[in-house]
Amino acid sequence: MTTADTAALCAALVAQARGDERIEVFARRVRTVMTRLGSSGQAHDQISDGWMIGVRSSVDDRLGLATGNVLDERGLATILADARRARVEVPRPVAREDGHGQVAASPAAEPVHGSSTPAQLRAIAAAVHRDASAGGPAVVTVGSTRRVVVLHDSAGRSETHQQTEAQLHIRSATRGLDAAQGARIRRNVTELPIDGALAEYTRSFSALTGSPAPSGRPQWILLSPLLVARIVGRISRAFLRNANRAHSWKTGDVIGTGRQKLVLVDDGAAQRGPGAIPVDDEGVARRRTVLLDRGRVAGLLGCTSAGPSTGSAQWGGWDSEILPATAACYVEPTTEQVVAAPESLPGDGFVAEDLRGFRGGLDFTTGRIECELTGVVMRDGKPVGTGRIALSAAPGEFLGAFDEVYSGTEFYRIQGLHGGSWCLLNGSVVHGDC
Amino acid sequence: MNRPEASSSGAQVTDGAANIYLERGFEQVTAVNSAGERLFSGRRLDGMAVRSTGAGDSFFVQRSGVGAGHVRALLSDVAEVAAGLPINYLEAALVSASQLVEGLAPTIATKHDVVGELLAAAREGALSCGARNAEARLWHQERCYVSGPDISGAAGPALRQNVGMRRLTVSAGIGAQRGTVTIAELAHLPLTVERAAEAGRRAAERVANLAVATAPSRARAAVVLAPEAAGVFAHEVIGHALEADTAVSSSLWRQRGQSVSHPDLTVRDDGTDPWAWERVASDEEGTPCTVAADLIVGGAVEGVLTDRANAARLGVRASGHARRGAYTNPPVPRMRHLTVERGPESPQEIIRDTADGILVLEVGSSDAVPAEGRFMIRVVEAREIVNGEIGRPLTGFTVHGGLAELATLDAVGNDAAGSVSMCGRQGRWLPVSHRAPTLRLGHLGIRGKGVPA
Repeated sequence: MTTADTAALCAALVAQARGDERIEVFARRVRTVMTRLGSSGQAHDQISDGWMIGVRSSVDDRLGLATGNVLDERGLATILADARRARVEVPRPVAREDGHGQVAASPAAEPVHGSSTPAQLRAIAAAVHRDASAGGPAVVTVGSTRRVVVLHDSAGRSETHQQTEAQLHIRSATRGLDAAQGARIRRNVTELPIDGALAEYTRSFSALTGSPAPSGRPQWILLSPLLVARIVGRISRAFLRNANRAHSWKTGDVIGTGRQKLVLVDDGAAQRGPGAIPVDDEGVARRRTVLLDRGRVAGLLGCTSAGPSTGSAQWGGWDSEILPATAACYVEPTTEQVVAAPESLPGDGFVAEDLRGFRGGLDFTTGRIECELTGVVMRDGKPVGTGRIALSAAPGEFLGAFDEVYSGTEFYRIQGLHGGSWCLLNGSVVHGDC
Repeated sequence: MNRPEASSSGAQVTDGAANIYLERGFEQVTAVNSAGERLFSGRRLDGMAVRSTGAGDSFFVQRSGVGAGHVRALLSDVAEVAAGLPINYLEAALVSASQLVEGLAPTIATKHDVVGELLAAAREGALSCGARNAEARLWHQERCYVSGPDISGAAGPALRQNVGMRRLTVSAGIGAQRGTVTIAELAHLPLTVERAAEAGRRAAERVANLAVATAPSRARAAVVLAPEAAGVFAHEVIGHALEADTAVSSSLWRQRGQSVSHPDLTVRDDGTDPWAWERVASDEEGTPCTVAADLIVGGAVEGVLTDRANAARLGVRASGHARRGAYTNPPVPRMRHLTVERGPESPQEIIRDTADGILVLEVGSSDAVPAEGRFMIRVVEAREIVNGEIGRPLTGFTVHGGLAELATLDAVGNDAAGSVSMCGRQGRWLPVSHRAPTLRLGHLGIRGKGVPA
């Protein structure tokens, strides 16, 4: 099926509108090729190729949305029937940005094969696996994802966007040590910084395999870039988008003391990750949104059904709703210093490499950060063993504990693209001793 | 390089070492919100997957759609990663399976007006018992899938299975506080207007208790788990640690054959139990699900939950616990319906014999680290126990512990109750159920706002 064929299918569905009904079709194709090389040396290849289709039917101020994953005449007709039923039930006002009118979007079918082949990925995985296995058995995963979106609308808009993303992930296969890992994201496999991922993995592995440290209470915590990315992702998903009701913050809210140093940004216009496709999954232009600005909520992510839209609509899969989501979210550095040096920090400290807790440390009922960190215990500039500390804090208290955000942001794909760099926290959020 | 040169031309898959899976399904959510408005959303999926099942390098290829064109496209991808597969045989198997799925196209079984009555009864039940606002949501999923055969035909003919599941959730609110109750349709227990109204009333009672609840005042305590909470506890601490793919590194499985808890503790996963939420004749790679899998018997670690691959690796029989969640995932061993056998003590006696402690009534999300045997469980609703009497309501804290705490189990009740939930692991959310009696643990750690360190 060619791009023209798929566009014709969508256009035919749009033409089925009855009376004042407006029909929109959004379709996207994602193809991922992945190779994982395990500790035994056996390879596992994986290819995923799928459509994601959303049909919206609206009449006056009533909107219905239904989704599916088969782009053919019968599949589209079934989804349209569901969308019409949803419209009848739902008295939700139609919210639209100017210029976002009748849209039929379809992905190109044929160009996705331009992405990496399993053989290319295997060669990279084998090279990384050899080095990563020096300290113990390791599992290396190399993947390449191709996304293609073509937009057509009744105003004559016609755009094609394509984007490729490569992922490298290394984790330990040592019993009970899944936490030791290194990862990198780049635009294609030839740009993957293998040395950086290996260095991250080696550091993490060393930090988690030492002998236990004597107990004590740390005065400071250094969070690794990967942990910061995980926490940033959780906070943005829980508090900083319009889809949430229970815990969402509001623009202008002051969080905690309001004296935090953090600036949290979602840069949908950046030329990385999904930001490289300049429209979101509803066809609205992506943009840069400042979410938190030194203790104050500066903006919330939105889409047309949970607005106002910031060009942040994301349709995660055939079984997901279209919701606001981050495109490339990170904490802006507060210093130009690139690498934190734990040896130079005084007193008792903790270098955190792993986190365990409710879906990334956030308890949705209480809205608190409740988690355990695992890492290296430091005493007067010297590592004295491994340990575990518990964090228990309201989000405002947690964000207020950040004393420094170092430069050198690295991006990771953890339920979205999230960035992190080394961050220094004071020990006020620690619950008990190591 | 630790793998054969053959890798550059695709995995060396031999005849008889691949397995097919096709699926059609839909999911719909109908809800009534706090303003009394009706909401609906619908999602449909069709898809298929081929994966290797033999020794050596492996592959998994999946694609949306089950039509003839989709089959050809899928086989083109399979050829990229696998050498030595008889593609013609595979194509014939896929086309044949797609016809089976076509004949079993899911239909919306629930009449529209019945859904409306259920939602209205649930909402009214909550509002009639003091809730300021209430929402009700009915989740309905229908799937039909065809799994197998292995391309050698050794695993027998393709098996098809229809699965339909419904769940009603009521959320009652007072101010910012919310109390939630979920009930499910079971084979012998349909969703009725009466059950929906009762769920609404329980949600209202729960939020009334939560509105005045405080945090516990100690960092460790004896914990009595009411049946619904006990089921989740067993699921997290025992069930996940004995799913075969995690069991190889789990500290619980390392103690197989040894006693790890009270002799009255017996835990099984039993998809044939009438209280099971998902009841199927075969799992998602075609293994029959006809017997319960013993996990803990008399306090000792007895067995694991397996799919075919992990059963072969461990040298045991496949227990029929291969689950995918959707065609997009390869099967892994997962729980379906965890049961804890009833013990000798009445729940009233267990509470009376607890000098000081916490009675946990309802738990929420949880996290387990099987490799270390540790767990954290968020407590939604609890009561203080003082001198054997139930006291003030508690909320907003977590209980945590490890295998050492499992060994402090000292009482198993003679009651039993069940609950349903969605269990997420490695990004896959699957419907699961539990049924357990009251359990008491000698002590668990407690964390939360206002709890002393």
